[in-house]
Amino acid sequence: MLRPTWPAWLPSTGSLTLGCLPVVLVSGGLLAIHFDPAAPLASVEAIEEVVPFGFLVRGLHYFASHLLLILAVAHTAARLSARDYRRVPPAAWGVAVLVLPLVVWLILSGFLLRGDPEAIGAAEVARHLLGLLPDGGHTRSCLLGTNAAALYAQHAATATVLLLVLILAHARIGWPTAHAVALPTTAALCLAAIASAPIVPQGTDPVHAPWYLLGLQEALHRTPHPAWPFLPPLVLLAGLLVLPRVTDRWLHAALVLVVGPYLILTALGWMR
Amino acid sequence: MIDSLVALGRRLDTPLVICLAAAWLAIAAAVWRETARDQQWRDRPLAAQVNGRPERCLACHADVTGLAPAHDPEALGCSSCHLGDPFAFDEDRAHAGMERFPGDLATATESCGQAACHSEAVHHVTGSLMNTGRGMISVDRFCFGEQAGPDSALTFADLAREKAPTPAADHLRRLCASCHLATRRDDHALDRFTRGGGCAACHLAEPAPYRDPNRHRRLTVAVDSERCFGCHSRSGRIALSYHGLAEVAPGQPFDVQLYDGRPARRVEPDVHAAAGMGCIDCHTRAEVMGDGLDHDHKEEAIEIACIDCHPTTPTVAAPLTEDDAITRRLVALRGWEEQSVSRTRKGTPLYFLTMETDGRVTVRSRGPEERRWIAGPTPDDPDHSLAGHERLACQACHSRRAPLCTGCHTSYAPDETQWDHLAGRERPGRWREKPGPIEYGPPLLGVADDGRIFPFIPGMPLRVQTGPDLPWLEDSYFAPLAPHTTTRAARPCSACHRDGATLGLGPGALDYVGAAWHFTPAPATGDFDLRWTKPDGHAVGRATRPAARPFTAVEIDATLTVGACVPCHKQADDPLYESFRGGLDRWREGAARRCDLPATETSDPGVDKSTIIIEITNQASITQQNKRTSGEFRIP
Repeated sequence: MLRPTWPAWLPSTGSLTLGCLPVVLVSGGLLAIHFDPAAPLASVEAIEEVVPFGFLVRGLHYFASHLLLILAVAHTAARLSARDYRRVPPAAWGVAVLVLPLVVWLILSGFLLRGDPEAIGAAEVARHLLGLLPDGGHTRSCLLGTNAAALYAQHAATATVLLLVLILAHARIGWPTAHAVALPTTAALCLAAIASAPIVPQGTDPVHAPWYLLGLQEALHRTPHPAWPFLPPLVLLAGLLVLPRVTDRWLHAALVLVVGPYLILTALGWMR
Repeated sequence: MIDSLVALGRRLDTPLVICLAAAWLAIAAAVWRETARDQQWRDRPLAAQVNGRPERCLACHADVTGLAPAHDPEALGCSSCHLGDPFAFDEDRAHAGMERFPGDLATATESCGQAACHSEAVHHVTGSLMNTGRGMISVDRFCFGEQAGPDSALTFADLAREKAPTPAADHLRRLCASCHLATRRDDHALDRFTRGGGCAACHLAEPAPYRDPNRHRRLTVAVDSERCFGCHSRSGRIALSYHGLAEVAPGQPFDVQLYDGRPARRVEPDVHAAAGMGCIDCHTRAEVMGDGLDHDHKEEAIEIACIDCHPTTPTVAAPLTEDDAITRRLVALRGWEEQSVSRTRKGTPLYFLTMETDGRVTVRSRGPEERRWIAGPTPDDPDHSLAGHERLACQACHSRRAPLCTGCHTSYAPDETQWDHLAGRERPGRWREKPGPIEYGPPLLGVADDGRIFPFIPGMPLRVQTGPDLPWLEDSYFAPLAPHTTTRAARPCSACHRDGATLGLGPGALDYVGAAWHFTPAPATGDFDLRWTKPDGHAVGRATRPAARPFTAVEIDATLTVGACVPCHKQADDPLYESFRGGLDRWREGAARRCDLPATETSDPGVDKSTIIIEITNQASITQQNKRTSGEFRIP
């Protein structure tokens, strides 16, 4: 149980998640000035090396968005642990559940926009996997578009606005507390000042998916059909959506069967 | 005062203060990083662009000199050829994925052969014999008894994929593959030892002293003959012969030591070399770099012919067409003016030849030096229109000498290791080459694949046991070769018509005694003799081309029959040769009163009749006397 040991001065995971949003949005807006979807890698390299404090802004965007994902997962875990899904209206719970994949998609699309060999490799894998869906490629077109500009529009506008709408609908507050903003912002700032957001050199053979998809990549390596690894996460997502209507035993079973193996696969993928 | 501060502290929000302090520290660190970066890139052309895209390689390499305008870094940048990341500022990131040796065939499609540059050339080179090695591979496998004939479609790429190489494949991978064009070059040294490297193997000009790190070696289409020497100074040794060098066995007197230590004597060079012509002054781009077709052997790739510069009839030149884009590009690269061109037998424009009105041809050098030569037409004289000589290639008469190696030994040491050029690593086992006696002499003649009478030399004489329980393979092989020892004066008639070695009979005494030609073979001097055929036309050696062959008995007899007359009828314009058959008939009829050709068999008991090849009598027919199985011989 997280709640009893949570320090009084530390905002809740939900507030911290919300607190990540301002720095992600502001840094993203600054990056958009210099990002060129027609030459993504060149512009990212320029932001890192030419634009004054570009490395800092890009680092802020990178680290804050990853904090957002981590905090969103932590928030979900905390709510599950507290069995809040029994207390909130089913619609609010459903919105909260949908935020998670949306955050993953936003971070993944940002990763793809980097345009380095890892991003290009990941985009190819994503195109291939989405092409397996029996919808004639509509989902693929909708998510990835036909070029970097379309993906950029998805990332910077459509998905971002949708995330804001969902988070505001879920949190029902307009602005996070000062602590909730200051803590993740400071953490991201410190990380950005001392470490660079990654760019994989050209000519590198892309091996690793982003860390949050390493488990999925490992599962793809180990299963005979590329659709199979997606079934457990989809079942889990569906399970979370209907969670208010099922027993806790189902929840525990789903967590053990999906999250546990995913973490093991992630570890294996990390070691590959 | 202190109380006031404590009270203020209590009123402050501690987490926010900590955040603020941490943020200031972070900003200070960021300012330090930014300052350091600014110092690093100050005064460097960060905004350099090539073809509308950033080329940040020039931030560090803007001072590179030495490249010709066609490859000017300000026009192409560095990454166009050297790959890497032209957007990166960080050295490691910029150099990641970099190709230090552009033109290496493994990456040539991304560098020299990218769509906007030399894609067709790279495609052709990849399929050329210098890369596939098809002829070399198939002959080697043929000699090792691994395939029935000397043709196959196997390439070095196929050999590289073999996990358990056959003896021939192993032999090729360790020795022959060193000259394979796709062999990875591992340094920038540029000498005759240099092998492989793809495009750069030929097109990297000989450098000035390589002391200035900003000096880039010049790329050129004017390929110096030095570039050819490293690979083509072995086997048929055409590069040595052309330049007037004859390799000799270790321990023998020598004049020069070759780049790899082999001793050589100075001899008369090819008449073209003596005039200052280089390899590419004759050989075309299409035959050296490939023409898009898969060839089995080098003579299929060769398209230049003696008559291109020494025509027998006036050559018609025509303007270049739309299909001659590469030629036009080459003309432009050399700064020449387009002109009407003649073409090779395959249609390649000979843009370096100018057909003069008097029938002569001006040859313009494509090598490093600006030179011109005047080539006269092939004379329309009896020497070049003698009946019965229509099948003779120019090289059959105009080649002074060729290497006649019969004693090189190749052995295999399983307990040692040797570099595998295709695997790029040492592997157990070692092939050793031990040079034996190297002889030179006029090349023997045979019938090439295309039916022409062409020079042949011993090609890959071999004695090998490919397995512990397998029989030894021992055979003599003969390969067609353009010796590259051209002389203005042709070999005399007697060099063929009265010479057993030239006819493929091997060393020995060929004498006309009594009314017959006698041949007494000389004792073999090496492990392998130079005998390709027996006087009865039975081949004892094998040809390294599927349709090539030694002279038949009929051809030998015809040649020797003329040979009987040659001592007196020395000149091609001799009336006898206007109709040799008629002349022979007159002699048989007794009408040739002045002819002292012995007409009847000698009664000298000292003559060994078992050595008779052919007896020339005044009977109506000439019958074979020795080992012949067929009956009547007729003058063709």
